[in-house]
Amino acid sequence: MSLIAGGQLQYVLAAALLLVGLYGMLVKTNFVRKLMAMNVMQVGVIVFFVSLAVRTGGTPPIEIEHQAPGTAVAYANPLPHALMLTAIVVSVSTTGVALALLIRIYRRFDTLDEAELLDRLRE
Amino acid sequence: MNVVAGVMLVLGFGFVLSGVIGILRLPDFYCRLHAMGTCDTLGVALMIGGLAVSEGFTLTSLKMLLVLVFISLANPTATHALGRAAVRAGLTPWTTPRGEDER
Amino acid sequence: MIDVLVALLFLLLMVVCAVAALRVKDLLAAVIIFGAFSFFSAAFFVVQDALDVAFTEAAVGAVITTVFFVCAIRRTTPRVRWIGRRQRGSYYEPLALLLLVPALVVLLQAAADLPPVGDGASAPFTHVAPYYIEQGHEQTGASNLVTAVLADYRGYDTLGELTVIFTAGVACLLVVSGKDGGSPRQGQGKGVRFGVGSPVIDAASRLLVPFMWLFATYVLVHGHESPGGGFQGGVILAASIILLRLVRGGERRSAFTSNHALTLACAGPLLYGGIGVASLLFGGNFLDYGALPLPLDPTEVRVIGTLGIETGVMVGVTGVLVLIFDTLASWDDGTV
Repeated sequence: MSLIAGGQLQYVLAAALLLVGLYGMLVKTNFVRKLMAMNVMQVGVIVFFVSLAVRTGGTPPIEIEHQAPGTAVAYANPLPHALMLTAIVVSVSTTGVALALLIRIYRRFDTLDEAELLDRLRE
Repeated sequence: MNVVAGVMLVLGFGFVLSGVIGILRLPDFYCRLHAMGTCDTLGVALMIGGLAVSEGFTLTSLKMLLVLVFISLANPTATHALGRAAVRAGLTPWTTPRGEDER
Repeated sequence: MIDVLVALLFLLLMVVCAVAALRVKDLLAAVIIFGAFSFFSAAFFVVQDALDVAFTEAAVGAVITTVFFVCAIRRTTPRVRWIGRRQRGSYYEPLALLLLVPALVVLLQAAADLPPVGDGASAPFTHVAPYYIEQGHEQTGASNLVTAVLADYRGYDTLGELTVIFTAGVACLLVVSGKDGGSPRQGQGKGVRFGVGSPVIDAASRLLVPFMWLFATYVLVHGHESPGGGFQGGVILAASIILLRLVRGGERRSAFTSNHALTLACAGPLLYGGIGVASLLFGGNFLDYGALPLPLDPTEVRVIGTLGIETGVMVGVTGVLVLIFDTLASWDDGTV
């Protein structure tokens, strides 16, 4: 397909990660698996942003000292990297709170399966 | 220098590969743990040592040697932790089906 | 060419690990595969020249997230139900595919419209990014451009992120408290039983933890020149404290209690906001480090300012992560 020739295969795989995560959140009934699927979606978004920041033939965005004056070094884009640092730490915070909520749900209803949980709520 | 580094890298790769084959083919958790623990540690140590040798005497190679020391310390500890956890969980080691060789 | 192939290989391995983690029956095995997924993503980020992101993902995703999941699974799912449950594992799958196939088509169309990966003239490389790349080193004194953007140019965003982390810690405390705190035996529960009790692991961890602390401080201070910074340092520090808790048997046997963690969690945003307000008091804008009255060059003053806020970030992240771990592991042990 033209996607492969156009050098956009990384976006396709990032989209695949997003869809795998979405599938997991929709279809699986265990809450822990839903949470893992949410984390997969978050990593998919991070992969997408990091792919946007790549420059072919570039180097990581750390200033190299002792360059000859007049040479231009192609750095990767530091702005999406900074945004994704925030995203990673926020994702771990969200996972921590979600796990605490899961423990509380288990205490109250003695199950972590959504189908059983809905049955017990109706009782 | 590069020859020595290349030899160390290839040797390290060989050890890790044999560890992987052990994980796939050995019959029991304890056997696999032994394969992974020993082969992996030595293989990774050789690979990092090879990379450090190819860098020469720079700060980067010193940092790589520190990583090597850490892995040499942490990998056996992790192997011990895994084995101990398996023993405490009650996993019994595998024996040959008839129990004894016929000699 | 070869690095494009390596990046695609790591991405493919990530997709495989993600699918495997969702399909494996045993929850603990799924968590370990999820840890492998995080490691592959860190390797992918290294190949894509995103060193800070790789550092943070390896430290956070592979270590902290795995430990949190294992704690939560040990608190909830009883052992006999880990494997081979009688429950239905998933809903009716073709209905989900009905939603996902159009989503896939739309995303592929969008991917076809995006600029090719590595294009240096695409939209993200215009307007602000070239200014950061060219002026970042002289204006902020930081060689690491990601730290320059994170701590200096986009300092507001980082303050917001620290607030989000702090809110997550407080939210965990709120989930634990309340009269329906979950268990009728509140205060007499047991928490997660750690305490491996092995002298080998104890000795190794006692040898490693001082060096982990040293390394965390190094990562914090050297975040200006190399990949690193406040977040990574904070995560490493929290990981060392969690290691001690795992080895020694929980929060009760440790001198660094949950209250200390809460104090750290509050001190971090206080330090960050305090530096911002101090800049206001000395006549500059909020978080404008150049206004601080230090007897140094303007660039050096900015370097000291960013070091101050990175310390605030590190302290805050450490406190919150240890607090969340204590919530997940020692809840209704009488301690949190």
